[in-house]
Amino acid sequence: MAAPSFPHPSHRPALTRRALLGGGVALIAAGALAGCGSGDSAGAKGRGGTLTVGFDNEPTTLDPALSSAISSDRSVLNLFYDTLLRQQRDGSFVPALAEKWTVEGTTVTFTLRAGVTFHDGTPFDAEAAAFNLRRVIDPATKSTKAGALKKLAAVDVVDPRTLRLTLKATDPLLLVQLAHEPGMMASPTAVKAGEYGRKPVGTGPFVFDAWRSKVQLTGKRNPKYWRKAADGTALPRLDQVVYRFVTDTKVLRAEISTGGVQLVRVLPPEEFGQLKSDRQVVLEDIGVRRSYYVALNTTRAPFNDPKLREAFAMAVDRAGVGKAAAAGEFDLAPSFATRNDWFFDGSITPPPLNPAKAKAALGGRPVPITVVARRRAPDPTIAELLQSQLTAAGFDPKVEVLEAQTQLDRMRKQDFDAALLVIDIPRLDPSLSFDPYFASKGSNNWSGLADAELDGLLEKAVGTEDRAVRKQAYVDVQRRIVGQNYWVFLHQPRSPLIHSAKLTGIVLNVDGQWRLDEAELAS
Amino acid sequence: MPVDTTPTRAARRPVLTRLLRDRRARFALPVLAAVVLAAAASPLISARSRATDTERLLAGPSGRHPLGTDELGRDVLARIVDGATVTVAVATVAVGAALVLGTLLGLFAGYRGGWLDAVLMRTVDGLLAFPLLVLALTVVAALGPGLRNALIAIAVVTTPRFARVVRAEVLSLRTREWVSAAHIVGLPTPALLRRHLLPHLAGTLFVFAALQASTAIIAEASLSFLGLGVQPPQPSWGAMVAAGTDHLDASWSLSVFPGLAILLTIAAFNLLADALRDALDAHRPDLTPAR
Amino acid sequence: MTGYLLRRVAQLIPVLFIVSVLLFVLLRLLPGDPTTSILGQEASAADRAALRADLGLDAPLWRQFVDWIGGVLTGDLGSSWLTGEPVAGVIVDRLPATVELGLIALLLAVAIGIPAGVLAAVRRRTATDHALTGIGVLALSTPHFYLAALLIGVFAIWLRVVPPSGYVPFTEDPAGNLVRMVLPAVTVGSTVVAVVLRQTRGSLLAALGEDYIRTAQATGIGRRRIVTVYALRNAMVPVVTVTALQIGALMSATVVTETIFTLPGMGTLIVNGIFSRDLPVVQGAVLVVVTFVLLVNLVTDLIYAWLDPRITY
Repeated sequence: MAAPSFPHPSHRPALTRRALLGGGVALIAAGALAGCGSGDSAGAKGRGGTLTVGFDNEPTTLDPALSSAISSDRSVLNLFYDTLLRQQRDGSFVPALAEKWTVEGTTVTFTLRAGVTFHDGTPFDAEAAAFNLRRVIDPATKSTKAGALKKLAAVDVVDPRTLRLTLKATDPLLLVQLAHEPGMMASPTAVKAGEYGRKPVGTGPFVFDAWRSKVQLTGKRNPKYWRKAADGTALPRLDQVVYRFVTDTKVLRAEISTGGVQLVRVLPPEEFGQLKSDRQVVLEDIGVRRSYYVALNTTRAPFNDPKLREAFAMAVDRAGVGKAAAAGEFDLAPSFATRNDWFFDGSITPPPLNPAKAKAALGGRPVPITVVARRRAPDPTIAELLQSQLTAAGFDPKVEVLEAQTQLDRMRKQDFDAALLVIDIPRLDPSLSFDPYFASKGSNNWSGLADAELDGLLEKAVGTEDRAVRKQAYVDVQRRIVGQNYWVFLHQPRSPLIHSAKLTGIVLNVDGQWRLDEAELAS
Repeated sequence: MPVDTTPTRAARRPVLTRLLRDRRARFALPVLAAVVLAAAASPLISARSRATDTERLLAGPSGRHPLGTDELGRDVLARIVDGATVTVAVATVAVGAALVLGTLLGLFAGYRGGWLDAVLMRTVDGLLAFPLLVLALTVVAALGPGLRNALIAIAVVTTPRFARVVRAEVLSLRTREWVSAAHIVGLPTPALLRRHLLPHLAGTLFVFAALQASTAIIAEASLSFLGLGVQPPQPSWGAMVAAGTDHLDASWSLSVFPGLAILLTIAAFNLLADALRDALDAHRPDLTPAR
Repeated sequence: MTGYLLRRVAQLIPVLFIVSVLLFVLLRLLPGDPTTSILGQEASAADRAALRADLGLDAPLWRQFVDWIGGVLTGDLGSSWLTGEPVAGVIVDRLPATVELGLIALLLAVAIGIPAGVLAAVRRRTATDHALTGIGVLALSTPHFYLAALLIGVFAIWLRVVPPSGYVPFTEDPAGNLVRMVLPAVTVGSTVVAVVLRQTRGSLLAALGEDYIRTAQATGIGRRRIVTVYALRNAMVPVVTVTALQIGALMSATVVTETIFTLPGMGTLIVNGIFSRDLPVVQGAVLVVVTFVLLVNLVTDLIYAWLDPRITY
């Protein structure tokens, strides 16, 4: 189970030595250690320094149990928190706060790392870990992550270094969830002190320093961080990380090209052109896509009629949408699968573009429909283009550009015909992309689907850990969705990692969120 | 200089002559006429202004597209012409509704006095203390976006301004001899208002309406810029500037031309107000352009 | 005078009450479930219902209003639904950017608007006058969002002489703060400068036509002295009034300007609050702004009444 990039307990003499030294001395010692330890392996790369990140999606809380963003909060939370285990980019798991674990049926036992303390000095032990997991599943917490751990029946502290989880049923997603927000470990002392969401205390590589809403958030190097680099040097390498909250994409583009920030969460494709010619900036395609889609309301006319759904699909020029709204920086894919995903199947295709055939299917009379879109670029532009394409194919579309809450309210009440939205893909597991939207009991079943075949396939896909069976099930799921034209998937704009050429060592999660403990800035 | 106080027809005529001799009016009137003409022509051009062409995105000026194309390949010139409809609707419908409603409220409050006046005027004070755009934004957010709701929001924020000006005018006119005389003679109040006060108010209201038109156009453009104004496919100048600022690198002209259209129209209304005010010789701080 | 002052202050109370009711009712008319922005779009209906109960949203509207207004009267503006921070603290956090923006704009108005207005008045009907009044009309007629877009396009993206946005508190980095405030302040200030210019020119011309100025001219006092000492002093009263009345409009301007330059001020606080349905924040912030505008209007009226002997209380 031990991974090459993670130190064995035997690699920890430095920590012991530092633990003997106190306070400020430790900081200097750590710096010195890092300095001589790096030697040739670090080469010209500088240690320390401040990394400034341009971030468009400010979290509303830094309490992982209450975080509501589907994934973007994690790029911030990873600064302050660790989980029992980490999931690497390829999907495999490596130890983190737990040194090892065993899964036997519905029992999972973790052996915890010794000597780790939270930033406030509270020791990290089985009690602390149990406190966090129990807090998530306690209904009183109203945790947004409770659903992720819904199969968890009991959390038991066997001894200070052993934690045992008992499940109601096997759950192929349990380890995935524990490796992300639902499993992030916060200091029980700090959580109990109250108003926790604005002053997080974890065991992570950076210690929370300050957070000014809409301005910036600062984390300072955790001198006592437990993790070591593969070469045995201390982590993290940066002295400080600053997240600047900037929502305007023009501004973000200008900031990354002038060096005001060295890393940007996401930029729209029309900003890529200028950056590509800039040698100080790296655009790295990490396989992350934004998946635009139109959900059709199957609970009422006209889209309760499969023929009219097919007509809608034939009316939409997906490549044209991509050209106009993603500056040509996009893929076309059958569904929430990206080309690199293990459940991708290129043979699934929507009906080809054919406005004339669509018009014939409508029976010669304009069919009035209401399209709801979100008031956030470039969605209104896409909606306008769809409006023009649908009109050409004989629909009489009315576009309503709404704020998020209003749009979702309308969709939950099924007071719409077609809804334009986007999600970031891949997610940690395909079930997290498909179940909420297509299962008849899904929280986001806006289309009002009640398709027994689809439900059966989705259940089959989460009932096993056999990759081949799961893949087949998800391919069938996609074939069913596209075949029935429940949704019309549009383009997938590319969402590359954009950073300064001086910044290296960014580690990515399965879904493209980042960790900065190994990041470093060349001076 | 004393303000002309006799509400006779003869006194109005030199005003028009004076106005037409004013260089500011000679700039403003043709500009406004062009905007109205564009709005009138918009049904002819709306098909062209709404036709998307993904093969010709953000193209520069050419023979086929004199001002280039926008982010969906639509003709910018046609969209500016088509967008004039919105501006004209704001200047006429929204400001007109506010003018009628505000005048009625102002006349009523000013003439009636008493607690109704007090309640109305405190409400007006309160509404006027809201930043105009915040109030308009909230009203539109509550009603939902769209041209009709934007017009309602603008009428809501503009009405109290008219009410206050009209009430002040009524209060000052009430003390004049000819009004008291008419009252003593036994003219009923509505007749008095209609026959004597309103004609006298007309001049002030013209100037004030021109000023409010410019404020209203800015408000609509700002709402559209923030995405809360007119909904697609109807183009609006404010929304076009917003789209243009998203594509500043690809096409500088996209936001510049619709912005110029807004600027010229507002300048025309401001200059017209200045010229009218000078022609009427009604020099008061509330009749001078200020936002 | 004291009676007049008391009467004016007493009038503020009903106005503020009406404002509170209007504001509260208007915000409750906003469609959309506020818990969506707190819990995210994938939250279950049960979670959203529980949070609504937590926020007191299932209580009758009058009850919610009484709770809110009761809090306001005891100095408690409530807490943000979104982040849980106390609203008063959030407002204190956001005030500096807006106040600074307003102050620089007013400073520009005084430093540019008054001299330009005087110049236009003394050079009446010359090319200078026409150019200055023309610029004034242009500034009044340019929507703030358009001016902001042009300024960003030219100075931040094309010439790259200033950063396009961002905010550094003045106390942390004065130079960095000022560099970033230049474009927003010019944007907001454009209108005020123009208004002050026009008003200065207008009232100076009016003052120069008054009898006492003619008398002064007849006694042989120099023209420069007449303009600066006698006429300007009298012309300043309406200028001050009109400038003060611009404070309300200034708040409107900051809404758009802060949004475009992403400044963490009251404008962005209110707009984002409306969009994310964080009603306690919007209520608190708008109430503070409206109260401020009303107080400025009141003080202006009082100063005006005090300066102008023709007004009787």
